[in-house]
Amino acid sequence: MGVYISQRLAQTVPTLFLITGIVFLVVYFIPGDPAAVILGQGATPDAVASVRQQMGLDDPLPVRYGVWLRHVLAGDLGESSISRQPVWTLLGRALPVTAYLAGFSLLIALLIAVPTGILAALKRNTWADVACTTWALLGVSIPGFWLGIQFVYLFGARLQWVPLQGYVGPRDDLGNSVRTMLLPALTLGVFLSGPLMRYLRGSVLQTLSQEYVTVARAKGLAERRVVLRHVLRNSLIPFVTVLGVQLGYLLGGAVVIETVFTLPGIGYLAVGAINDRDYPVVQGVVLVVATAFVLINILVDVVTSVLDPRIRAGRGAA
Amino acid sequence: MEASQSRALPVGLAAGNRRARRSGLRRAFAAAAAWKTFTLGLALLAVFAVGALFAPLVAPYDPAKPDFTAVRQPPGGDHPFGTDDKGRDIFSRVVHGTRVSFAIAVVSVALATAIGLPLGMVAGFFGGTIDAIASRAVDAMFAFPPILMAIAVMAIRGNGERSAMIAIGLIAIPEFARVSRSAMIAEKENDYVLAARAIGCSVPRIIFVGILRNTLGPVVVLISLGFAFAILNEAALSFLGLGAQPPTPSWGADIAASRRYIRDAPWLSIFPGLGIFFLVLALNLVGDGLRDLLDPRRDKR
Repeated sequence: MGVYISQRLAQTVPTLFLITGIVFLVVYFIPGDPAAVILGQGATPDAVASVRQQMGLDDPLPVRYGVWLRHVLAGDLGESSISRQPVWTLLGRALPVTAYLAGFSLLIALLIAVPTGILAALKRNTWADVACTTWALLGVSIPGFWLGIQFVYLFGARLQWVPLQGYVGPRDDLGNSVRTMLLPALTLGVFLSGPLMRYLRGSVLQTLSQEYVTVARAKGLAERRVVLRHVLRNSLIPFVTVLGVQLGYLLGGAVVIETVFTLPGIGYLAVGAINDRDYPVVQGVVLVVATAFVLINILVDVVTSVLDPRIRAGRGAA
Repeated sequence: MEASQSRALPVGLAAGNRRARRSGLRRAFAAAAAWKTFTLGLALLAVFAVGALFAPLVAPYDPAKPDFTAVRQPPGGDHPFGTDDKGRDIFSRVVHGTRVSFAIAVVSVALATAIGLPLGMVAGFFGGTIDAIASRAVDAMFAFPPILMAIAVMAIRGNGERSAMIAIGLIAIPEFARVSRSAMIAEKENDYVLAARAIGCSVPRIIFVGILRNTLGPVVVLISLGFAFAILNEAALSFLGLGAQPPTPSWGADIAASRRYIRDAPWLSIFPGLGIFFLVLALNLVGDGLRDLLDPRRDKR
């Protein structure tokens, strides 16, 4: 067990290292002078030059990367070029909003995907299966931001069930908070439910064709027990792995949905920072999101290895 | 599918025969369904392709020409989809928008294929250190949410259609590399690869002529689903104001512009959105249908 986890962590080190490299290079290649951005319009060339020197912008690329990496490893992401606030402060405010949205969406997606995925597999090639797979196909074909706008029109403007936009923190007013978050989470959840449902259906179908299922049926186990004990347990393990991977799409979707609903999460922060050419914030957001994605996927692998001893033994799930 | 046929046959024969016939029937049923999915998608795709190719002929109005005497007219009469906030014909804008979406998607998918496919195939073919390095690089690329990475690339290149092509192509590379790598790993153990080596074929020839031809199925599926991914991402980037710039008709940008009128003129956003939806649906249908038609597991089961 410990060996598996340490192996998995060791594999991650080069990946995380590459991530820092990509993040650094992306920001390096953004045109424009960060020193000029900090000083604003009307700065004298001398002032720009001295700030450039102060920031180490004239050093060679590997040196700058090394300095930056040392700061990052020490937990220092720098400060915003615009508001002068530490990047961590901005992230600390934005991350909980995105985590809230992502968690709520995931809950909705699972509430849709798990029952429909299992039903579609168990009732394969019936109308129920066709209905579920059609839903999944429609779900992945709808542009999320557009669906969000239509929801705003229908439930906000016409029916007036929920506020049109804005954000209320769950600790300020839980009822209103859930009401404002419902539409964004539903929008993302519908989109996410499609691939999840498809995957679960495939996974259950594959488990159903295993010999131990035939044995369980042959020994006279009630179908209910066969499904609950043998099929679901073994189908849900690979499904959990896929959940981790889908998280990337969930976070990407959150970027756009936050803009539609003006939620002050990391997506909103990133889009704003890019428009303002606020490089340290762009760098911080992208780095933290990518690292979180990698770490969550390790966590997922560890959880599934606890659930399924075959993974630890290196034989993979059924 | 639980029909019990051939009851008159001797017991032993009946069991085998029934199984064979049932799996044959199921396979035929599945193939027919896949074929239906594929042709439906292809027909829908053809409608969009014709619209994109012959946009100036199909569209009744100039998509960029304002008409301030007919602002925000509801659908019907001279304007089947209504007019927008500048009095432009929405149907004409949706038709011309197809063109922009297609152009960006074609170039970005070509880019992703040109880089991701050889990367995955070479990594899968050689294995070992090359594979380990390529796989770590692909893992690292997967860690970035696609749209966030696309936004970052747009920041480097500046807004516009050409940058969108590059950004969307780049974010699709890891998926292209991953799929072609696993297709290669499954294929390279075949005897014909060994035979090609034995008669002295060069490695590039084995990979890009021999094996590529035999993995064309998954590659075509990948391309059609990659196309759907590109259309959705292009729409999202334009929606954020980073893609095609006004007055170019663009589905995403038109939806963004329509948000101010969501209460009084919902048709401004409905029709461009339906354009995206049906085009992506068509591509998903083609991809899914092809995958089921080409799925080798169907024969083996």
